Amino acid sequence: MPSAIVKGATGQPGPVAYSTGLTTGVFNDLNFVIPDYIPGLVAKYGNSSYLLASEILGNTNIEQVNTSTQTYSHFEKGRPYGSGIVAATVASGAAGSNVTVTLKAPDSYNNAAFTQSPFLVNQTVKIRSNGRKCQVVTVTPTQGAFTLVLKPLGNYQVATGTGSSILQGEGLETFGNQLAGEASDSQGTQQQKLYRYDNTATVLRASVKASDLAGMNKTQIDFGNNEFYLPTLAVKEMNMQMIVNIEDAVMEGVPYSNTTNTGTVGVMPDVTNRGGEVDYVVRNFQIWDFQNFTNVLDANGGPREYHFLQALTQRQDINNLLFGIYRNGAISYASVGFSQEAAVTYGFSGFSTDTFDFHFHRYKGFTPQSIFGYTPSQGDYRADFGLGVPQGDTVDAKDNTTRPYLQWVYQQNPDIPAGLRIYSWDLGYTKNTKTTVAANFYEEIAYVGSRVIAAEQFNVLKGLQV
Amino acid sequence: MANAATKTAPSAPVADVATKEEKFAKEKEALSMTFDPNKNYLFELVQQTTERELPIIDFHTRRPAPEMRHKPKVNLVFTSQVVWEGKRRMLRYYDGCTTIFADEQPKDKELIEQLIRNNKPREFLYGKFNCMGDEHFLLLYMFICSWNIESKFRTRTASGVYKCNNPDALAKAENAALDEIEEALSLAKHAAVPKMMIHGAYLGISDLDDANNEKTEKAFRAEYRRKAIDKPAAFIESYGDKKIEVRFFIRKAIKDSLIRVDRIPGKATWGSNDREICDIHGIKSTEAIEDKIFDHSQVGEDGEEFILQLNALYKVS
Repeated sequence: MPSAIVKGATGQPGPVAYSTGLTTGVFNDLNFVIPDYIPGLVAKYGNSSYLLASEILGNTNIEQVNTSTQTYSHFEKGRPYGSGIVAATVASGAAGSNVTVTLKAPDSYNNAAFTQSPFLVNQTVKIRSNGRKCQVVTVTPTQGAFTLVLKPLGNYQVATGTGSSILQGEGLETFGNQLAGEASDSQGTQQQKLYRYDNTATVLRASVKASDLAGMNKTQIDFGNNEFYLPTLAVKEMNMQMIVNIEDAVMEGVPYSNTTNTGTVGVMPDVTNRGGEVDYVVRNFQIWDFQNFTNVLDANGGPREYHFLQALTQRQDINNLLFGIYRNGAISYASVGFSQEAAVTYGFSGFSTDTFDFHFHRYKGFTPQSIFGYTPSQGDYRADFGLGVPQGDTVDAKDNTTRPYLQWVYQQNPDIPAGLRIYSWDLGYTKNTKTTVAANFYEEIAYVGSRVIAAEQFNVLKGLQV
Repeated sequence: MANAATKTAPSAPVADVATKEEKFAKEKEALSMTFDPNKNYLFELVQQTTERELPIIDFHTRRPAPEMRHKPKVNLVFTSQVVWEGKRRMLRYYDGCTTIFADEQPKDKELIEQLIRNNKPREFLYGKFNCMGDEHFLLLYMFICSWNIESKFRTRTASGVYKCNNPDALAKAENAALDEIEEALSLAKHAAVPKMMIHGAYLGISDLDDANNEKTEKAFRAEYRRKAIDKPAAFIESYGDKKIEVRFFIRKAIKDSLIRVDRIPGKATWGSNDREICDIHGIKSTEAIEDKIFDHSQVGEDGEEFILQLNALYKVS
């Protein structure tokens, strides 16, 4: 049996909101001195840097870049090979006879108006069911119902399989002009679709406000680096929350169409809209589920290596399968930096099948139990969820440089030192410019978005609840 | 045997069978489903993709590329738990098997794994999956399993994946929507002018045109009818709402100085005799004052009296 959370995670609801700022009252309890104590604060729920996809995946999957404008773009090109689907069954006639077929919408068209198809006169077209080749004699571009007159190149019928009709749903694939002949003339051109993907940097902000007295009262707790004053802890927490908030913004997006601000699209909306999804039954992951996954990767041109960000429950499902099948360890470990012994002891970190290598990483960002300490009772959109992130560089369609598939894109003030992604100010104490309020303010702000390159090559693995 | 238990007659089995049949009628009905072998059955993913906040630009048209409403590819899962005759039961589909119930299928683990491995993968492409009626057991599985949100046998906890694309149900919904538009249009066409002006104002139709002249009745009605087409349900619902009239007349009465909000500080009064209507102390915006007077109109005898007087001002019966 896969493990569930035996004792529900607690600690809910987490931090306290002080809408008017911190005062010394927060630390009254801690200022109780007894002879023996540890002069630090222990994190009750462990290391709280829960997300950090970029740290988990490393530079081959995610890079951090700058943008000089709030809106930024990248360009992608579509599939270079053209095909169409027959809309209605047509009788083939005698061997060698021309046949007129209509192209089905929307499958055979590249645009919503159904005016772009890949077919050109003189092209060689292959019928998928039997491999027979034809030549396009004419193309009549009726919107949503292009017709092609196909002439068989051999002494056979333009038909599906061994039948005497070309059937609805038959696939027609273009292979250029394979029979141009010596006296051929210039002909039409195919060009794959080009797309521009825009995104924007959203603005995240966090504040800490502490009264003067709170800033001056020393506690016996060392909050790190010999800092014993109250705001240090709040600022540390703000820093940590800011990183997590940034990660959630870039991973899940920040919708803004119903506001007057500018948010960001996010990784998951792009991936779930354009990438594939493989579903399996939770606690029953099987080898053919992996095969479903690799089929999708193969169809979408995915690279050899994939890194999974996974909810722990999904990782357990996969471990259960792999431990069952590969007791003696037919697994590739070296590329993920673990010894075989460690991998067997702690669960599979890497697995190769169907020409693809998979590396598994637990990602707390998908699990509310880990971050917030509660178990959802009304559904969880990321339950038993995993994201397959392609590893390695993809070629930029515009300038031919190579890039990782994921980027965290920061907009940066030119006066701020390079590499500083989150700006802070007023990290001091009482200042002589104070006017009305006897308090100190600590502000952080970040301008950040994501860039997902070739989202089609990402793939979601999702456990269905029974 | 003095201590032997008294034998009791067995309970009447006929009555039990009848109850069971009644109780599990939907199971029986499901298993007796037939499919037209020449018909294509269509299933559609339930979850739609979210609209991208910024459009994808197509270089060829220099316009936003159309976005698909469903993911490009999602596989169909061939095992599912259902609630069958009051208990959980496992369904499992694989090609060539003549039952979809796992407990009636071969038990040999290796054989069953082989059969499942040989199963042809099926996928929802851009949210749609077609299946011809001759695939009887696949269709039976599709209709009964818990992934189908319309299945009567779903477990309460199952993920909802798809629904049957039923043309009759879609046509029924479409007809209902068209009926609603017709009803709203009929109301808009035949509404008396005062009613139209009041309701139109509520719907956000200005009584002034672009040149700041008062709209003719014809121009106002054209816009009014257009509103009926745009949001027929809201139009019909608000058409008969008396509160809209009250609010309209309060606004008009303030505008016409028949209700004064400036004569006595902190009080709304009748313009004719300065008699207090209600307290508006501390409220500044006209809209909030209107709200306050409207609230007053909805409570008790004072409110009823207020509405009578307001209607008398505008000769509404």
